[in-house]
Parts: sequence; structure tokens; C-alpha cells
Amino acid sequence: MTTPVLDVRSLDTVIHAPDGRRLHILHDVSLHIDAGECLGVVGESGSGKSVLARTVLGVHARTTRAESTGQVLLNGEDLLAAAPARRADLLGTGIAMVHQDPMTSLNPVVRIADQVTESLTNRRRLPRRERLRTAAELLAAVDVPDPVRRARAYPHELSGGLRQRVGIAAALAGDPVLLLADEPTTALDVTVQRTVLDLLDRHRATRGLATLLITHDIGLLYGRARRIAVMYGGRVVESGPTEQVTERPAHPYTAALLRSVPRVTGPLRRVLPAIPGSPPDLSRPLTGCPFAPRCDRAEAVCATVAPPVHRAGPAHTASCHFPLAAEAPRPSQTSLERTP
Amino acid sequence: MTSPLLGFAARAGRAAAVLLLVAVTALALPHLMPGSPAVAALGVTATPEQITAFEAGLGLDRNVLAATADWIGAALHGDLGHSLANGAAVTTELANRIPVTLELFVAAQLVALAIAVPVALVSAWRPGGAVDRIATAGAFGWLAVPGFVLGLLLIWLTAVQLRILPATGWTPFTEDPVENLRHLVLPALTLGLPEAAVFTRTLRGQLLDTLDRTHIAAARSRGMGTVRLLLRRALRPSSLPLVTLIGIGIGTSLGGSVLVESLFAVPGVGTLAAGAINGRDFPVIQAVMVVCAAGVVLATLTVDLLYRTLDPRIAHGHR
Repeated sequence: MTTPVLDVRSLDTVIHAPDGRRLHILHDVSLHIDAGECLGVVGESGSGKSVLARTVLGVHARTTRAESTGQVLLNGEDLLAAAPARRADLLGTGIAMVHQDPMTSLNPVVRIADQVTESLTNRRRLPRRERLRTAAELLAAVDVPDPVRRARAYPHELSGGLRQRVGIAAALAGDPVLLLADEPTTALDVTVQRTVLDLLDRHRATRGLATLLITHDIGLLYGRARRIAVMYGGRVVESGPTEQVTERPAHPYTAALLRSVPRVTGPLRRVLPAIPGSPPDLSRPLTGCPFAPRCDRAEAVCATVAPPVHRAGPAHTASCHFPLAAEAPRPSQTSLERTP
Repeated sequence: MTSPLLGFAARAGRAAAVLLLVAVTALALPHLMPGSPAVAALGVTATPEQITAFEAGLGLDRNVLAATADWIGAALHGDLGHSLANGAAVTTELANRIPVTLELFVAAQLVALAIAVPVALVSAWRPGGAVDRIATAGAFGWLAVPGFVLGLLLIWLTAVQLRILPATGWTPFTEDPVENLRHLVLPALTLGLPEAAVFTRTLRGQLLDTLDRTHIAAARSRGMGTVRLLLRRALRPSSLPLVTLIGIGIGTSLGGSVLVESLFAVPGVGTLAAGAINGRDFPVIQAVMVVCAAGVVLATLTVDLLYRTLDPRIAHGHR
């Protein structure tokens, strides 16, 4: 068995917020991604998926301080134990990130060429001509039309879809081995979403890029991610091959998440099933299952004892006291195929 | 979105209108002020004939608008009249004074920027850190000290106690560059230090806003170091309010420099204006007013142009 590109083992992350609060965000998170593979990480706001990406990248919000225990192995090298200089060295060239909102993730007063080539120019000087040429090549690789002219443009001169392509080009510039895509299409029109995801897919396949695709939209992962990790309350509550997790969810949270995907088929007017309640407050310690207060299957034990790992299949696990049986009602597959 | 050229023409037109208004006001000044400039110039023993002749010489017997038109016509030919006090051509006087005031202004801005930019960068990068707390307390302290008190303190410290700098006086740069700089230090500090406090607060606030943007996080995720990030990515989008402040400063610096120039006996426009007002030297007052207004107008136009270079969105009419 080959070493995975990214191997996260028992990762716990505590964030010290500027207001002095101590937030225990990630709890015992373990996941891995092989070269050329896409792992989908699903969860609602506050599930810890963005903190996971930032911890792997090693860049946290400027005003917060993060402490992590466990292991984050990049091609076998433990990043949590690595020197700050080594971590800085990997930014953009080992691990690259595609940000959520292309309208805000590009500097409005810096030309596209200078931003796209940052991963290179942060390490060595590139003459202006060289920068423009490299940028045009990178833009062409992400299907930006008229790349030579676009390289000289400023961000406001481009549409949202094009800007996200620029964001992807900037991420690919340093030829990374791991790509972290944090909700890369959330801010885009539905019609543009698909082309951007296809683009990510293409580069993943041709470059053998390990991709961590973070989303709150589980339907988006169908047919794109080989495996899915479902996060809730800073924990991976269920993980496994995409087909198994989406067709035979073992964790009640995953099942609820799938039920709340709007469907195109079926009666025209109906109540969209939502999950009652809100995610747990991460500033308080939590015993038992984080989903227990919102779970319709929860019993007394769920609130007090941490759930055991249930094996639902060869590579399919769920942390739950009362996992759903395989023959539980399945969500319709057609709904997932309709979403981009 | 109008064409940039048309927009600029409109601005230039408005600027000309402002200057015209200032010129009319300046020339109406002798009529508006109590007392007669003729009496002030000729003394109380002057005969009515002398006074009439004097007022005719100044154009005081004529319609203000007509006088303004004549004045502008002469001004366009480089003639701003003659001083009542010593009979010298006002243009010559201004030509001697303006470079001094400009040099002082530029030096004061450099002092302010040299302090404000690094302090604001460090403060904003670590808000609530040691540098930030000291700078915040210091800035408010500075702002509370009036400029002349600061100037007197500086004179006491450097000229009286340490005897390293001249307290007052001026040597033109063309005469002796080193002496010129030695005379420049104290007035430039007196003007520049309070401005440094304002600049620091303004830039720090804007930087805090910029540094919270996603594009800064994105640049960090591509391995950009802190120094480069601050200087190449955060400073420029944060500098617009600072440019505005400097532009406004050109106008207010005259008011500020009257005090500072008098304190340090610097022969600039400020001392010229102060002397002219005391002596009711109307040709000089009028010329100084119009020249200063022209300075403000020119500065505003420059700020407008600078905005366009600093933020391409403004040039493209996106903001």
C-alpha cells in the first residue's frame, strides 16, 4: 500500500480566539487522501471543516492562535512537528488552497498576473515579462479566454466565474501535491459551479493532485468525490465511499443531511425537511455524541457516552450508538444527480 | 460612466470657478474690513486728496468685479501689484517665500510619513500588541499637545539644552544645503509630529480593515511573508485616506505654518501673510489668498489623479 498524500491522524485543534475564549474545534479527526483522489468533506457551518483545511495548510486567522495535537502527514512528513520555515516553504508549493469567494479573495489593486504567480514570486524574483508569460500560461490552463489580456487586467474587470478560475490558477501555480478547496463554488451561479468543479476534476486527474473538497452541499460531491467524510461538531461522524454514504447512510446526521437536499422530482409543494436545533457550542466541553440533542434516535446514553465506531462496510464507518441499518429508507438518488 | 477626459475637464472648470470666487472675495476685502487702508498706510495726518489718490491707486474707488477683472488680467501677465509696506513687487516676494513654505511642508509630510507608516503597519499587524498600545496612547497624547507648545519644547531641548540646532532663522538651500537642513529640522518636526499621530490612526484603521480581507489570507496561503504582505499587498489599498489627508494638509498647512514659521522665524508664506495682515498690506493679502486657494485646488486635483492610480476600480468607474 502506498503512502497517502495527506494522512490526518487523531487531529485535535484548539483555537484561542482574540476575545480570550478557548474553542476546542476539532476532535480526533482522522482522514486520508491518495494521489489523484478527491475526498469530499461535508458539514454545516461550524462543523469545523474550514478549521480542518486551515490546520492542514498551517495558516490560521491572523488574530487567533491555534494549538493542534495528533499528526498531519504530508507524504509521510509530520507537518505539526515541522519547523515554521518548512511549513512556510510548503505554502502554495506543497499545499495550495482555493478560497470560497472569488470576489473577495483577489486583491482589487493588484494585477491578475501578479496574484496568479505569487506562489512562485514569493520564492524567487521573476522579471515582469516572465510573470506575464507564466500567468498567461496558467490562465490558459484553467480555460480563461484571452489569457494574455486577462493577465494584465485587474480583478474587477473579470466575472465571478473567471475570477474563481484565476483563484484555481493561482493555486496550481506552485505545482502543489495537495489542493484544499474550501467551498470553491458556493459563491458562484449554479451554471458556473459545474464548469469550475469539472475544471478541478480535470486537474486532479491529469496532475495526480490529492484534493480535499469542502462543501456544505452533499449533492455536489456525487460523482466527483470518491470518498466522503461527514463532519459534525468538529468530529468526522461518518466516512466511506460516496455511493455507500449517500445511498446507505449509517449516521442519523448524514441521513438527515441527505433528506434536507431539495429535490426536483416529487410533489411541487411540500415542507423541506430541516434538521431542528443548531450545532453544539464549541466553547463548552462536550461528553457523548455532539448530535444527540438534535437526533431523533438519541437515547439517554447518547448524551453521556462518546459513541463507538460502527463498521457499516469494508471502508465505511460511523460514530453512533444507534446506527441506521443498511435497509433503512434511502434518499432518492435522482435528487443528487440533478444538482451540479 | 463618463469619459475620464470629460470628467477631468469638468473638475478643471469647477477649480477655475473656485479660484474666481476667491479672487473676488480677496479683492472685496478692503471694502469689507473696518478702517481705511489709506489711513493705515498714510497715517492719520493724510489729507482727503491724498487718501482719494491712494484709494484710486489701489482701485478701491471702482466696482469690485471690474477691479477683479483687472487684477486677474494683470495676474495672468505676472503682475500681482506692489506691496504697500515696501513697494516691492508681490510676485518677487512670493517667489522668494513659496519655495521656503513648500520645502517646510514637504519635510513635515516626510517626517509624518516616516513615523506613521511603520508604526501603523506594526500596530495593525498585531492589534492590541505592545507597539499598538504604546502608539495609541502616544498618538492621543501628541494630538492633545498644541503645535506651538511642541515647538517651544523642541527649541528648549535641542537649541537651549543640547545646543545642536539653531533655534530660529533660515538659510536658503542654494546658499548652504547643510545649514538649510539644520534650520529645517525643528520647524519640520513641529509641523510633522502632530500630523504623524493623525496619519498613524488613520492608516492603522484602514489597514485593520484591509488585513481582514480574504485576499490577504489568500496571499498568505501562497507563502507570502509578513513584510512583503504588508508592504506590497496591504499598504496600497489602505493608503487612500492618507492621500486625502495630505491633500487637505496642503491647504491647512498655511494656517499651521503661520504659527510655526513665526515661532522659528522662517521667511515663508506664513510669515509674509501674518506681516501683511498686521500692516493691512492688501495687495499682499490678496495675492497670498489666491495663491493658497490655487494650491488647495491643485492639491485636490492631484489627489483625484492619485486615487485613480492607487485604485484601478476608481479609474474604471466601478466605485
